[in-house]
Amino acid sequence: MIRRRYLASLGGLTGALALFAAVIALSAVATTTQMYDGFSGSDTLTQSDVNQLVGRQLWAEALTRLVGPAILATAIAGVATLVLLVLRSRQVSTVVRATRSRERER
Amino acid sequence: MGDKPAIDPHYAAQFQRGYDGPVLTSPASAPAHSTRTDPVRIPGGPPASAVRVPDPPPLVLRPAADEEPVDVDEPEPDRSNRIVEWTLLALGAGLLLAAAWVFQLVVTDTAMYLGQTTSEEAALSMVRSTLPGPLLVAGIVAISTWLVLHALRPRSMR
Repeated sequence: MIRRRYLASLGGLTGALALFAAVIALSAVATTTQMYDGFSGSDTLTQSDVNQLVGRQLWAEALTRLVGPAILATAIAGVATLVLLVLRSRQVSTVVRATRSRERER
Repeated sequence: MGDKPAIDPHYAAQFQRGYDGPVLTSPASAPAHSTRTDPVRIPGGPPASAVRVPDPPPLVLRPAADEEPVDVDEPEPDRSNRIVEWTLLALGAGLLLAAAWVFQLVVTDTAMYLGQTTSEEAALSMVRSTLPGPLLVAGIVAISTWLVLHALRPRSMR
């Protein structure tokens, strides 16, 4: 019989990954849309401004690149959880059927 | 009707258990078939009888009628399998840590945008920037596989 503890762990991992993917996606959107906040086209950029903009650009790119893999990882863990759930429910129904037939024999 | 059949010599006293009398081997010394002998009292009383059927087990040791029989042929937990599984978990954790480390390197790598890199460093930086995602997925796959293997393993092997 598949133990409930491992099933719960896999479900928890899936939930945590879904949360992680959502946070990554929202952060990617936020850093991309707010990349030039505080600057206007007519500003003369200092070296510090350039460094700040480059930092924002790097974060936006890195987070955007991570959204797909985070969703993929969530899907993989979710599929594994579903497979274990189906296997466990089949095992439970088999045990229930066997118990009922034994009681009927008595 | 007056002549009763003789007793089969196989049932003679010398062939009975616990017989301690003289053993008659020659036919001359053997009792004649027609000679009837009375039962002989063995000195020392009847021999101790051997217990042929063992006593039934006590009630507390008897399995209940509806109890499932225990499978005694279950395989022993394989040590190498266990090592492989824990290696899988360690690999998954390591891959996740590597993903976090590479991600931290990527977001602080400003040299490429500021034109301070050679072409080799720029290529390396581009490769590095694509690594966190696959590392994350590989780590999650390893940990999920470990969990699934543990969940599917029979209870006796855990």
